[in-house]
Amino acid sequence: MQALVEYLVKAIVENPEAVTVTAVNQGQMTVYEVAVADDDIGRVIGRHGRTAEALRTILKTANRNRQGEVTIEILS
Amino acid sequence: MHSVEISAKTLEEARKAAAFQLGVSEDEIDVEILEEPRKILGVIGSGQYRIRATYMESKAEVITPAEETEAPDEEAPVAETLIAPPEAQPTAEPAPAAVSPPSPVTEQPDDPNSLVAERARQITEDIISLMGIPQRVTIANVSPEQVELTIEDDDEQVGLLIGRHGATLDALQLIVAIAANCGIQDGCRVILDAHDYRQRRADMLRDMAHSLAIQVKQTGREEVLTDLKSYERRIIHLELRDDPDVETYSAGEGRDRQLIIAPTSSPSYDS
Repeated sequence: MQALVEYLVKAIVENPEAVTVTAVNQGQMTVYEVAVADDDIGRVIGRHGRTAEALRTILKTANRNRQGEVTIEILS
Repeated sequence: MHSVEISAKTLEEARKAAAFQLGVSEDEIDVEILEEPRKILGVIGSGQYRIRATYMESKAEVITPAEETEAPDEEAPVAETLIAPPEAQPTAEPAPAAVSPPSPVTEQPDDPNSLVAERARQITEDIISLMGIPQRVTIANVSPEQVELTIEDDDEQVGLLIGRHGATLDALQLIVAIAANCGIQDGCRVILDAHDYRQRRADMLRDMAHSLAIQVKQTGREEVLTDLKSYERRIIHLELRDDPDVETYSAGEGRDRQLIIAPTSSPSYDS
C-alpha cells in the first residue's frame, strides 16, 4: 500500500524527491500521511479536493480485501 | 445493496432507467416487477411498469484471490516509468528531456501526444499492478485533442477497476492524466476505458435521453435526472439539442446538480 501511495503521489507532483509518505495506524484505520513540497500541495489536493479524493478511491480499491480501512491525508 | 424503484411505459425502458440510476449496466441488476400496465381490450392502457431493480454486488465487485492482494512491495519506480520507451517517439529525433522523469518533456513537432500516450499507458499499468490488479493497457487512439487508453479485460477483475458508478476508473483517469501531462504545457485529455465501460454508458445515456424525451412529450411534464457527472450530462444535452420539442438544462450545484428535460413550451428557470 505504501508503495502504491508513493508511486501515485510522486507521479503527479513537480518535486517527487520532496515526497514523503508515513503510515500511521489509528485503531482499525491506516492513515497514509503525505507530505509534499509547498508548491505541490495544490496539485495533490486538486480543485474541490478532486485529486485527493481520486487518490483515496484508488487506495481503497487496492485495499479491498485486506483488514481495516485506509485513507490518505495531505499534510500542509 | 442498492435498489431503486422505477416506472416506465415499457419494461425495457424501466430496466434501462434503473440501470442508469444505479450507475451500472443492465446485466448487473436484478429486476422485480411491482406493477404492470393494465391491459384494456388487449391494448396496453394507462398505467406503467413499475419495477424494483437491485444492483447485484457480486457481479461487479468480484472478490479476488488472496495472492492477488499483495501489491509488489518494491519501491515504486517513478523514474523508470516516466522514461518513454523508444517506440513512443514517432520520429527518429531523440527526446532527451523525456529521460529525466518529472521535468518538462520536449514536445515532438509532429505528434506530441504519442509521447503522452505512452507515458500514460505505462503509468496506468504500473498503478494497477501496484493495486494488485495487473492488466495490460493499450493505446486505443491518439489525436491532437486527446489520447485514449484501454485496460485489457482478459479477466473479471476489470469490474474492480471500474468501480461503482465508474468511480475507480474516473479516479485512475484523473491521476493518469495529471501524471502523463506532468511538465507539459496545455496537456491533452486522457480517456481511460475498461471493458468498453464508457462507450456502453454513453450508449445507454443516449438511449435514456430519447426515451425520456418521448415521455416528456407525451406527458408534458419535465423529467429530472440526478447523480450524473458533468460529461454524462453533456452527452444528454448534446443528444437532445436538435429536438425542437424538448429542452434540457442543468440546475443545482456540485453533487446535487440535476439535468432537467422539459417540454419546450414550459417555463424554464434558466437554460
